[in-house]
Amino acid sequence: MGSAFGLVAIGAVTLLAIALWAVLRRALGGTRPADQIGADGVPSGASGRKAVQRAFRAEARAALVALLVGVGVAGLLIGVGAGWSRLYGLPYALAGSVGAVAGLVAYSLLPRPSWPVEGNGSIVAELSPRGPTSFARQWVFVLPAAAACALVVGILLAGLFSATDENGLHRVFQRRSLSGWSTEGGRVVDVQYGLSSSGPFPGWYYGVPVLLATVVLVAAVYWALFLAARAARPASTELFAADTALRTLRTRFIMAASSAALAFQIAGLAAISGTVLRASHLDPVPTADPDAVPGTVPVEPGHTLALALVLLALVLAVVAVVLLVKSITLVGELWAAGRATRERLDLARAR
Amino acid sequence: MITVDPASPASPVEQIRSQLAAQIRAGRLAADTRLPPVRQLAADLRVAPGSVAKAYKDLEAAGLLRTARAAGTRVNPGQVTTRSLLDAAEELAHTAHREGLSLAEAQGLLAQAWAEAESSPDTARHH
Repeated sequence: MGSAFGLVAIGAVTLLAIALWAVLRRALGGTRPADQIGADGVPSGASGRKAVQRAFRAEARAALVALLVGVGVAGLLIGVGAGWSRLYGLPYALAGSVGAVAGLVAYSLLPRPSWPVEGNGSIVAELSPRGPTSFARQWVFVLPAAAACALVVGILLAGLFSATDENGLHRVFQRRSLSGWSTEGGRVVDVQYGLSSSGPFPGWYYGVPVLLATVVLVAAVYWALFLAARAARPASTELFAADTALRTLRTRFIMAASSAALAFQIAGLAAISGTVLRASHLDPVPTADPDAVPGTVPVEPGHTLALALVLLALVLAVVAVVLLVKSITLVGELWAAGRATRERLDLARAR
Repeated sequence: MITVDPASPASPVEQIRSQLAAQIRAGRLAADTRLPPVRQLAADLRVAPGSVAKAYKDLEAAGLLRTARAAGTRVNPGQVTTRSLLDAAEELAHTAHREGLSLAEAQGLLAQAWAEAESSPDTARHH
């Protein structure tokens, strides 16, 4: 029953994300980099077109391999988490960032064809510096960076409020709670309090590895963006538009895939924290009636914070799926751009 | 933009140095403009990083550029030449182009006029 509900929830989130993505895409409109190549970026010479086609196809292949490696490694960690209960779900917490790091490393290391240089022709270069943030709008970098900072702050706070379990691992949340009471002459007397623990809670046991994995993820993203920006430009200005479109798609893919992993990771931690905090902030109300089931009262502000965390987790899960869908569509866009150049090449040959 | 011609008798260092100096003096590279890092420009021009580093160093020695670790390589202010000289250079280029002269031939004419100007007493007074 529980697993069926989980599957329905995952399906609903995926459908919602795809619908949201379609609406956003329609609303934002704009020219896609691949369309830009169609408009003014296809070089007139056959060798130039061939180079553009080769470059886009190699990029599409690399992006597809990166996605497969990333999802594969994340799936592997989820499998390890399911099969190795003594790790108390730590692989689940690390699946997103470790998968993204593996995918980004594969993406950055896969070889790409270099732009051709015509015989003894002159080589042209621009005099403007290129950096990791040169090929996308600033918010594409600012939002994930802010999310990563929020994750670090959240992990530190959760670590500070966490307590040790029976094995001495910082993975539970502990608070004072009502443990019992007596009644005397129809009145509640002798109310007793005790310490109760709820888990799993993202304390230091989960927090420190997630923190390290997040730092490594940020470094891997920076390295991939740096390589995308610093690769040599084509030798002739004729190929500059295609090269810019290629780098723009590459930057978008890196940011979409890594942001999806980050959102997935934050959503998971927020969902677990929210669920534990919600359960911990419902106190039973003492009652004089020995047969009545005691009601519960929410303990504020923890209860509201818990609900906000659960809501945030749902929103971020949708965002993660939207970004994952976006990175898959980018692979398609890269492939389509390469095919469009190929068709123009065939057309030119037929003439 | 900057161009390196592998077939040119001038070395890549000289080609980079002279073009950057000309663009700074003509005001096309404004004061405080950040230039690309050595490795980026070398990769784009398909030359050794040492060639770009040498050209930057020569321009630094000539006072046209400055390099700081965090700020990168930037154009120094106050390096733009006078408007009248720029107009004269443009006039020479247009006229030479119109009359079918190559760049080398126009440079030869300029070198001849330069030698004459240096030897004339009028110019010596200006020096």
